[in-house]
This record gives sequence, structure tokens and C-alpha cells, in this order.
Amino acid sequence: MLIKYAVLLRRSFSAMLEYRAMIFIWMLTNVMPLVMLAVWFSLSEGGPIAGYSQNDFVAYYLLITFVRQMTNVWVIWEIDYEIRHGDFSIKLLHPLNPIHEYIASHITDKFLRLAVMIPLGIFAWIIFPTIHYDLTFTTVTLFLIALVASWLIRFLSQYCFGLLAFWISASTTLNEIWFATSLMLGGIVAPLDLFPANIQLIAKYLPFRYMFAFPVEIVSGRLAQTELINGLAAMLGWLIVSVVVYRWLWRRGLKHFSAFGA
Amino acid sequence: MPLAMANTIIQVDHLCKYYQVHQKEPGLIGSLKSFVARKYSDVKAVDDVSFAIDAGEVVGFLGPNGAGKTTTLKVLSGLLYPTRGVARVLDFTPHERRAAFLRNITLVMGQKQQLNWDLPAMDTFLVNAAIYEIPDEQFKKTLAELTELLELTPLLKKQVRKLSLGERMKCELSAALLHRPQVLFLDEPTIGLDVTMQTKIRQFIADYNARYGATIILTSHYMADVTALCKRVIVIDHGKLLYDGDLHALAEKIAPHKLIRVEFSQPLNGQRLAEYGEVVKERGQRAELLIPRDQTSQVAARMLAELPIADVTIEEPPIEDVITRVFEQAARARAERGESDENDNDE
Amino acid sequence: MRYLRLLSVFYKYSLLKELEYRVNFISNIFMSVFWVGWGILGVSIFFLHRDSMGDWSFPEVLMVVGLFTLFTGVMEAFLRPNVGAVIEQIRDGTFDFVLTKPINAQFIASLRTIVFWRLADVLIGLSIIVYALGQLHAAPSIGQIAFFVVMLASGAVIVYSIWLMMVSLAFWFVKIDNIAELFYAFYEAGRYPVTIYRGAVRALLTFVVPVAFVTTFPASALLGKIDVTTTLTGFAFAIGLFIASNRFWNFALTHYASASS
Repeated sequence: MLIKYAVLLRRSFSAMLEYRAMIFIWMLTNVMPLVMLAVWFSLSEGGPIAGYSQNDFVAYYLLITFVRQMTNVWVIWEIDYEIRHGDFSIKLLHPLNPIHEYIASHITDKFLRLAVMIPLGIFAWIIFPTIHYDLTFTTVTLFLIALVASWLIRFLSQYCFGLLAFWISASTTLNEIWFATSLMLGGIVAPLDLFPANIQLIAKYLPFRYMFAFPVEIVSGRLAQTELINGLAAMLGWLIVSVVVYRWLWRRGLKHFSAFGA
Repeated sequence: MPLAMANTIIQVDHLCKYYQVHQKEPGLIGSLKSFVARKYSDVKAVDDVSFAIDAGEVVGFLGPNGAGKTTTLKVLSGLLYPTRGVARVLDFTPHERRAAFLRNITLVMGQKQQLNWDLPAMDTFLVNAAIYEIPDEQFKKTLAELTELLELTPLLKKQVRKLSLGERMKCELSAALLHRPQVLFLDEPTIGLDVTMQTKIRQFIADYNARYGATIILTSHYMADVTALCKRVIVIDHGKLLYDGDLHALAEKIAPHKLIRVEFSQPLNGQRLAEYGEVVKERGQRAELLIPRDQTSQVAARMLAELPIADVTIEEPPIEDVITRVFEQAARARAERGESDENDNDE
Repeated sequence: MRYLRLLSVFYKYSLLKELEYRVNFISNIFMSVFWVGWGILGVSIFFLHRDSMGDWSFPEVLMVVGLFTLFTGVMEAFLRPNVGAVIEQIRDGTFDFVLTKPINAQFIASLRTIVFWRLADVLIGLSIIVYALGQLHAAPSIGQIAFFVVMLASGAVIVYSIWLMMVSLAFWFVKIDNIAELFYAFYEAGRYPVTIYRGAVRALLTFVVPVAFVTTFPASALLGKIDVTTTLTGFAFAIGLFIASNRFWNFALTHYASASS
């Protein structure tokens, strides 16, 4: 399995490096958090909003931009294209679950993004020397774990929507609704602390927070210990749900596929 | 070369078209290298080619993949700017793409389609009628003629994606010819079609040529297309013009052999055919031999005298073999001059 | 005149083509409404905490949101499908057929298809604008409406020019589908009045990616927040950009090397 991954990773690296201009363009398309930052930055000129000063907004949005970049997922567009063009059936002939190929290309993408994000991060630190995170060994470790978990939840949920294409043609539309909701309730449009209390409460039980905001909240120093533990538990819960739903859909999908073709 | 008409429609002088292509070594290291700095090299797709074509001629372009046929067609139809040299079609400079020029030409590519996949072919026809400003009268008349020639009636109202490859090609041709162009550039119009359909398309092209006196340049991988339609061929390889002239003269000029086909009245006992010439085929009581052109009659006479022959014919070797031989010779010549043979880029 | 007739032919067949896929039609209109709803919800979060955004009240910001939606519709209906089509045609070589047609290639390439259901966004956007005007109890003067129309037209020309330049890039970079996404990422900033952005960001959104001309300025015109000079500057800017984009397109055409057979 490891060897297979090494091969897959090498190939996707080669493929991606071929399209150097494209990678940068894709990275730039994720500037929405920065737009929101600009808005909140100017709104909070007159004083903190719900405990967020200008400085806090900068800290929050820079990190959530990083999280969004590092958890970026596009697999549904590939699945959709491949199912419609019949390439997916070819993948099903390989003695390897196609999900691994997609995972490999997503991992590659993360390395390339990291290569751009690190210098940008240093640059941001120079411009905003006052931003502050609660960086201890525990929070950083938990942040990294949560980051991977966020990516897994985003990836698996989108993969599930992709698999729906076996049955319905509107799979990408459903995914769009899912994605738009995750921007709203995942803490991109505004930090969840800025929402009305009842919506905040609901958001804690929904998966969207664990796709973007939660890793940032871990190092923001705003979470009490119980909140942190509850959050981690909810994240784990949603991760398990994603895996279970994926496995179930995959098995059903294969059965459907062998019966009807795609 | 005997010319039916004297007005030149297509004039090409010292035409060159070079491309820059970026090269990449395989593997990760190669990818990283080309990520940092791309290496480019010139590919001479068309290299100093000159010819002239008169009104009403049907000319076949021959050459292996990447020889420069398609590139030449694209320069002539105004899609590509020549790197050097002159191309004139109907007294226009193609790449200026004047409306008056474009109205009188058409380009058909067997591997690409202009028909809209989701709509019936008729809809694309109507759009083209608007684009080319074809008057209603003329549109109806042309469509009726095309329908008759190509048996389009059952196809026009079907969604294009539901048509078979051959049916689609018929519709493609019609879409390309609605405005009755005087000059047709046909790039592999029969590719992928079955033999019957190839014959039909071929017949149609010949009819169109006869009916409208249109000038046609045709490229094809199927020699049968060329032998059926073109008296004149232009052979291109590696961007260079190798031959321009009568198709049959090509055989005489290039093929140093003729083909003798013999049938024996009884099985040979021990006589060795190889001493007469190069044996191409020997099966049962039939055989085919290649005999040097200047010795054909002596050898045939000797065989008749020495072997139990029931029947004998002397033919030109198949044109495919002749063409293959042309390219082999060109490749050998290049090798002798020490030129590399990697110029097989896409056209 | 001739080109208008051609447009009507093109649009007729675009409509026919769309009708082949009826399911998409409905689900897509649903999505339009959905995104607009989210957009307004997003704005309400700001107003949960503040009374104004860069001196714009809630109904005034709504007007910007309306214009944003309207131009989203314009771009998605008229421009994006063509960009997508040209990129695909360049990639598979069928752009040859566009170039061998005896009409202006820019005309076919940039206006050939239309996605009708996206005009829903235009309607939604207009409704939001009208609703916002009602909330403001504002009755714009003839002059304000005139400025608005000029700015709206300039916005449309600016948007067209930007998309034309993006299509032109496809002649160099074949894999450029995402260029539209890139533009949308910046366009996203046009959801809110440009006055809330500071310094370099505002300059960027006014002149480099001129979304301010598309959403904020027409709204300003209708609200009487803009004078003749700005209106004329906007108009001149639109004309300048249009000429530049046309030049760029022609330059790009000379670089077209049609894909191999």
C-alpha cells in the first residue's frame, strides 16, 4: 500500500508541476476569507465586536485562510467529470480503490500550497506583528490533528456527494448547497462568536464548524477546556459519521454500478 | 503536367511554419526542471514548400503523421500565420481572414466536429445559414441537393450525439458545404468510417467537384480515397515537399519494381522462384514477385519459358507500398545527412 | 443590424439546447435563490453589530447586493458560458471552425451562447434594488436615474472587457478554466460597498479588478452619492478598457496555434 502511494504521489506531483500557472490561480481563488477580513476589519474600527478587536479579526482570518487552503477539496468535480465521460469505469477496473488516487493528488496539492503559504505566512507576520495565538505544545498538536480531521471531513463529505452521481444528476448542486452552508456556519463569513446565541449552539452540533473554524478556535485561546473537549468529541463524531457514510455509499454505489453501469 | 484550366486558385511559395514546443524529460526530476525553466525547441512543421493548384483540381496530400499536411491546410484556411513564405488562396492572403475569403472556403476535419452535440444537425445548418448569410432560396436548394446526394432525410431531425460516426460525417460535410464554397480543405474526411461509408463520402466529394467545379485539397490515411479522387498528389514528409505531380507517375518514378503475379498450372517441383526476383508472396500455386522495372519483360519471358505457368499479369505495385517506399527513402536520406528523426511532432 | 439578427439566431439555439436539460433548469434556479439568500443573511450579520457599513445603511447595502446579483446574472448568462466554450474549443481544436466563419471572431467567441435560466439572477437583483429603494422611501431624480443608467452600461462594458481578456489568455494557457473562478473570487468583494475597504484594497477593487464600477458606483448613482465627474470617469474607464481588451484579443489571436488533429 505504501509503495502504491509513493507511486501515486510521484505521478500526481509530476502532473501538477506541469500546470504551474494553474496551481497559483487556484490558490488565489480562495481569497474569500480575506474579503471578509477586510469587511470586519473596517467594521471593528470603532471598537471590538463581540470581543473581537481588529487584531483578533486579523489573527482569526489569516489562520482560517490557511486552514481553508490546507483543507481544500475538489474531488467531486473530478468524480463528476469521470462518471460522465466514462473514465470512472476504467478506474473501477484497477485493483485499487479509486479514492486512494484522489487522496494522493489532494496530498500533493497540500504540499504545493504549503510551499506558497509558508512565505506568505512569514510576510503576514511582518505586516501584522501584533497578532497573537495561544501556541503551546498541546494547542499546536491539537491544531494539527484538527486540521487533518477537518480535511478528512471535507474530503469524505464531498466524496459522498460525488458518489451520489451514480444515482442522481444533481450531485454537484447538492454539494454546492453543502459548501455554501459550510461557509456560513463554518466560520468563514463571520467567526461563530458573532452569530446570535441560538445559532451558535446549533452550529456546535453541525459538522460545518469542524470543516473550517474549529482548528482556528483551538489556537485562538477563546475556548474553555470543556468547550475544547466537547468540540474535539463532536469532531471525532463527525469524522466517524463521514467514514461510515462513505463506506456505505461506496458499497451501494458499486452494487448499483455493476447492475446499471454509470 | 496537363492542366484543364489555367487559373491558379492556390499559390504557395516557399512556405514555412515553425512551432516552438516545450520539452520535458520524463519523471519527477524532469517535471521539476521544466517547472523552473522550460526548454523550447523549434519544430519545422512546414519547411520551404511551394506549389500551385488550379481551379477544379482535386489534389491529395500524402504523408505520415506529423508530416505537415494539416499545418499546410491550416495555413491555407487562414488559421495559422506562416512563419515565412507566401500563401495565396483565391487571391486572398488567408490569415487576414477577410469575410469574402472565408465565405468561399470550407474546412472539414474528420476528427473534429462543428455540429452541436445536443441539437439536431438541422439546427447547426440554420445557424450556419445565418452566419454565411445564405439566402433562403439558395439554402433550400443546396440543402435539397445535399440531402439527395448524401441521403440526409432521416438524419436531419435526430440529435447529433445519437448519430453514428458515418452519419455524423455526412452531416458535418453538409454543414461545411451549405454556403457552396469554391475551395474545400478536407482533412481526413473518412477517418474511422467503414468501407461502405468511405465509398459514399468519396463518391459525394467527386460529385461535388464535378457539379460545382470546386477546388479540393484532401488529406487521408486511406490510399483508396486518394486513388479514387485525386489525379495529382503532393507528398510531404517532415515538412518538406517530396513529390508533386501525377499519382501514377509517382509510382513509375519512385517504385523501381513492377509486380508480377503468376498462377501455375501444376505445383512447382523444386524450381526456385527466388532466382527470378524478390518473392513477395507464395501460396499454393500462386505467387507474386517484384522485378526490377527495366528487366520486367525479359524476366517474364524467362518465367513463361521455364515454369508451368497458367496465367501471368504484370502490374504496378500497390500505391501504399510505393508511398511507404518514398518515406523510407526520405528517412534514409535524412539519416545519411545526419539529421535527427525526432521531428514527428503533432501537426 | 446583421449582428443583432445573428444574436437572435444564436440565442434561439442556446435556448433549444438548454431545454434538452430540463432538470438542471429547475435545480439551478433554486441555487440562484439560495445563494442570494445566503448573501443577504451574511450582510445581516454585519448589521447585527453595526448600524452602517462604510456610511451605507442596510437598505443601501442591499442595493449593492442587488447590483452584485444582477451582474452575476449578466456574467453567468452572457459571458461565462462563452468563455467556457472557447476554452474547450481551443483545447479540442474546434475553434478552427469559429475562425473559418466569415464573421467577426470576437463576436462569435464572446457572445455565441447564453444560459437563459441565469437571467433569473438579473430579475432577482432588480427586485432587490427596487425593494431597497422602497425601504429607503427614495424616489431617484431623473438625473440620478440617468447617472445610474450610464454607470450600469459602463459596468456591463467593463465586465465584458474583463471576460474578453480572460478568454484571450486561453490562447496561451490552454488549461485556464479556473480563470473565471479567479475573477469571481475578486468579484466577491463587490458584494459590499467599496467604501468599507481601506487604502490599497480599495484601489485594487476600483482600478485593477474594477468591481467597484460594477456594483458600488451604479448604486451610488441611484442614491445620489456620486457626481458628474465620477460618472464620466467611469464611462471613460469603460471605453478605455473595452478598446484595450479588443486589442488584447486581436493580439492573442495571432498567437493561436490550433490544437493538432
